[in-house]
Amino acid sequence: MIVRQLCLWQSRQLLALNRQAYALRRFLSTETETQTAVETAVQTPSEEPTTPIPSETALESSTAALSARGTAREAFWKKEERRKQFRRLGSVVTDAYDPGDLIRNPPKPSDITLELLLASQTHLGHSTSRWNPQNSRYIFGIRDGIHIISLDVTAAYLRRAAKVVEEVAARGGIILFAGTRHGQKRTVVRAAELAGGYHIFERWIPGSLTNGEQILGHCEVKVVNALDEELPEYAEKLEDNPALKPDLVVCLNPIENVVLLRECGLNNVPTIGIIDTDADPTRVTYPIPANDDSLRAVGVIAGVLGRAGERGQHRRLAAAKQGVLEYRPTSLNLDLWEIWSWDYM
Amino acid sequence: MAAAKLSPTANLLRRSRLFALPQALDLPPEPPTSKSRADSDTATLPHPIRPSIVTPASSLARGDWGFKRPLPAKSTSLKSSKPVVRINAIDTFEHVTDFESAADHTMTLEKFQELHLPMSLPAKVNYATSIVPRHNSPFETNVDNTETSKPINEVGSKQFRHTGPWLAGLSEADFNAYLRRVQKDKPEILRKLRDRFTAQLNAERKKRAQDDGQDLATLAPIQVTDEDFQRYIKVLRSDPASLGPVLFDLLDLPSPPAVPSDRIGQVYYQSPGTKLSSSEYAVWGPPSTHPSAGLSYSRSHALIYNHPNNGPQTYQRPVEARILRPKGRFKGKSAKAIAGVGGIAVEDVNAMTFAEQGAPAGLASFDATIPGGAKYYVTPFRASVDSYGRIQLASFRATTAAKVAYGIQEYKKPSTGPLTPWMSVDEFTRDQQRIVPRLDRPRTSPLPISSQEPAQKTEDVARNLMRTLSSS
Amino acid sequence: MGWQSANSMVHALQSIRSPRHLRALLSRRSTNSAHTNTGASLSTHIQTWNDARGYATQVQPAAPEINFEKFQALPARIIPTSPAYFSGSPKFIDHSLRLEGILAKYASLPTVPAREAPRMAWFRLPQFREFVGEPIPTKKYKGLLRILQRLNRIDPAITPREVRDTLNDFLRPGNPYDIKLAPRTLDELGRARGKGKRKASHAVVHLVEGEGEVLINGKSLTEAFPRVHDRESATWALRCSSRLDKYNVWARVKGGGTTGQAEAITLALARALLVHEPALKPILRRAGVITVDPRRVERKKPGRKKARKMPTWVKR
Repeated sequence: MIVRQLCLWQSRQLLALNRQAYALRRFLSTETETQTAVETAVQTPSEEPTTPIPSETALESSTAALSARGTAREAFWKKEERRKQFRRLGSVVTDAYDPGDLIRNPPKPSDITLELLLASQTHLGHSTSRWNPQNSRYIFGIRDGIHIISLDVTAAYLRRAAKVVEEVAARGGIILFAGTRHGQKRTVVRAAELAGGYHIFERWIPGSLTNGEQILGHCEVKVVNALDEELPEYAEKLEDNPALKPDLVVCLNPIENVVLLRECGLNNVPTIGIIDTDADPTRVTYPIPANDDSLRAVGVIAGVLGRAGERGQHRRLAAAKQGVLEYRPTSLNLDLWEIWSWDYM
Repeated sequence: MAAAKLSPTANLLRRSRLFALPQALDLPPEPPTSKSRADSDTATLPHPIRPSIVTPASSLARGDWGFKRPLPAKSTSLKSSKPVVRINAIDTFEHVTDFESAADHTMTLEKFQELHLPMSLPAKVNYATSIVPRHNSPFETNVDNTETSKPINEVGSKQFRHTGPWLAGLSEADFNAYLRRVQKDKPEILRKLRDRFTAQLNAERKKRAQDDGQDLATLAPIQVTDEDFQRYIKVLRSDPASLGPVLFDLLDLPSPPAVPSDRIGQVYYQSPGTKLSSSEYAVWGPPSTHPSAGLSYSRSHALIYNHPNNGPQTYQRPVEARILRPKGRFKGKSAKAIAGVGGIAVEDVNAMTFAEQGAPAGLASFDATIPGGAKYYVTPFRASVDSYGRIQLASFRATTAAKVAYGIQEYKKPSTGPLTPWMSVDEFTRDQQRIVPRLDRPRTSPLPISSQEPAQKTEDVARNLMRTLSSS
Repeated sequence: MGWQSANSMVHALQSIRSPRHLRALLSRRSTNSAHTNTGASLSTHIQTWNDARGYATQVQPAAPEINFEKFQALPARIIPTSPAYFSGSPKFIDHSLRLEGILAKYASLPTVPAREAPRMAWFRLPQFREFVGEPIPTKKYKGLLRILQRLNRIDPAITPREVRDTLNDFLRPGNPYDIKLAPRTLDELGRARGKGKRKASHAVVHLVEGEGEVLINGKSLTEAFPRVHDRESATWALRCSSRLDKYNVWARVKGGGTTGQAEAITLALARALLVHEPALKPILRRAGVITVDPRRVERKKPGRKKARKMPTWVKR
């Protein structure tokens, strides 16, 4: 009796498991009860094998899916049409905060206000037990266990950094925006796009500057004239050119990018960095004391620097259209430049 | 104005939203007992101690809550459609923002507001006498006072707050600290006492003059000499019965609890009658918040639901209460059942100690077969906040009239009689049934007990019916 | 390059430290007429290259007009082709940024379930590495594939041309999903042939209609497989479809042991049966007889007793 009960329970549990034992099922029994509703081809062996016809239920389900897809498509078009019709209706809300604007239309250096910095959380430093005493001159005070970074100091240092970026861009320098933290990708790419610079949002490969030939050797470079038009005829002269180095590095998270900053230091590349209260301000050339954790704060700072670079690029191209070169051209064909310039001396 | 002297940065920071967040309140006091308590650290507190914070949808999608760093979506926007958080620390040594969901309290508030109950002043609800205490709103002008509000001077007005501490609730260290503070303020207190003495004398003389028929206009105010005042102090000191009221009035202390019976007949510092708005406050201490606690701002429950078919209803829609603990012996003591109404634990007062006829299923004893757990309908009628900040809800079991109007029915346990061929757990335990019934969802389709003799069954039904008809 | 950058930096610093120079330059530029002035300032710049300490602030006499054709032909800067130059894999990053941009643009378009989307033969990882010419880690390529698959799931009827063109860039040459295998047929004698492998054995089965006779390497089933289990598994395809008495089996099997041989025959027999009766496929699939078991014996490694087993660790 006990054994029967046990078997009952166990078999019930086995059924409840609902496990598909493909390979082993055929060994469970030697009798087969499989009923096949398929016509055997025994009588007509020489016939071509018939292609399997999808069963009724499969057909139904596929038509149902098709109709569902059709309705989804119709709904989409309807929505589009409605949007087209109603886009112009209603009132326009101005001066509203839209987080997407940080990417679409980042603030210019002239837009820096204390209110903007406050709203984007640049003033929130780290826990007081995490501070680096070298940052004491940027710190306004302590609140709720964290250091508060002074807004006016942030604004002043940000304006200075924007000026640096603008002038480097105006002189045709290579500006590298580095933000390797999660979520900073779009910000970094957008800032580089605005400033006509370069971006890195994944890991900085150690040695990209000190051992550039090995790491960046295979990456393509080009020769451009003063108007930024490519000159393909100089391509073969680039074969033995060393890997390029940036002229300015903007680092949005200096704590994680110590290697990058150290390589910049070894190669005399000036750096701009967002220095939170736990970072070492001596690692960068131009610190911007601000909160480096908030994506919004980083977005504002990178946007401002990107806008500054954009202005610099405009200046440079405008000058080039007038025939002015405010920087020393590449040494590839300096003799030609000299001949050209001697014509007009 | 102090703000004008500050730098622009300081002014901005002072007005920022983050800096406007209030400091955390103290944790609710633990009951003064030597018993070991088996409470959970993560249990919902009886009242919130930190503000709940929300963020607009566009910022929420980016994790931007206005703090040091974005909050992870995994524990906010992916977990809830309306995430609300409370912040314990903006930044910690481990480089994290310490936050947790505040949905516990916000949901309780939402559920409470759906009950359409006004807040009342706390009162002892005694179900045994079946006299329900009247609703008295804490927003009435004569009770909604602090020591500074104007109507406090009117006759019969009450207040819900005193500036002084509640002496009965102070620890020894706190009491000593308070004594030191009083000692420091001694000259000020003496000056007040002297004014009070002068006013008292003047009033007495004025009354006497009125009784004697003298001209009140010619009366000159009495000048109290230092000697008189010293004598007055001596009198007070020697007579505790008269010093008590003066002290409580001067220091603006809430009146202490009633005198214990063993002190009656002895000499003690008598206290004046309580000025607090509810007599419960005299027993348990002054309230830690406004008596409404911001849960509801309506003054009365003169609110009637107009049913589209049945017209205005006496009762609000009954709400479902989950039976948290059935009645019976609990920890060696017979106890009433405890039900949860809108996130608030309420004692089920109707549950008699003896077996009732027609009680809701699962109230008398734990019943695992009820789908979704045992529940029944109640009509909450009174809500107040006690001295410790806990919500006190009183409710009656919903009457049939209340339920009918809204088309509500209590859950009925399916009986296993021959006329209702539902599958029951008994069948399953007797091992006649091969399918294990699902206990966690309502059964929609009745399953026949056995299918071996379907023809006989209808016959049985008919025979049963005939028998019942003939017997009645 | 180094001194070029240093030069530009020096200019930048100079202008920040003493903006008076710059202001003078700007004001001069705005007052004079464009043509003569540009020549002048340009020549001043050219001259300053020879003067180590000059900072382009000295006023120079007017110069003749500039020959812009020559100006345009002169190289000014060497710059990276891609903005992702310093990441070490610029082409890959450009590709993924482009795909992400397209995905963001068309994210609101309705999609179809993955199984209804057109089948695309994306680059395999080595092919993609060759395509971009950069060493791409597997994980990053998987991320790229995920975006491609999401774009591919946009409803095919309304897929924008931009999306389709972009997706076509990531297809490997030739479409392997277009190749349709010719359906196997019976030969002129009514035989079906099927091959199967398992462990080290491989089997060829010829299946004709008949009375249920089985011949394996010229021996009967019982002689070939003394074990019942092996006999069962060898003919399981016929048994599970109740065809044991309707076909004659003639099999050749080589290599391996009895289990391997029996199960190689299972597979070969099932494949041969499918030639006779293609409609049996779901039944055979559920019976697990047309599923190939690709496991083989793992090779022995030096320094190990077997494939994985380590020799006993001995102290000293």
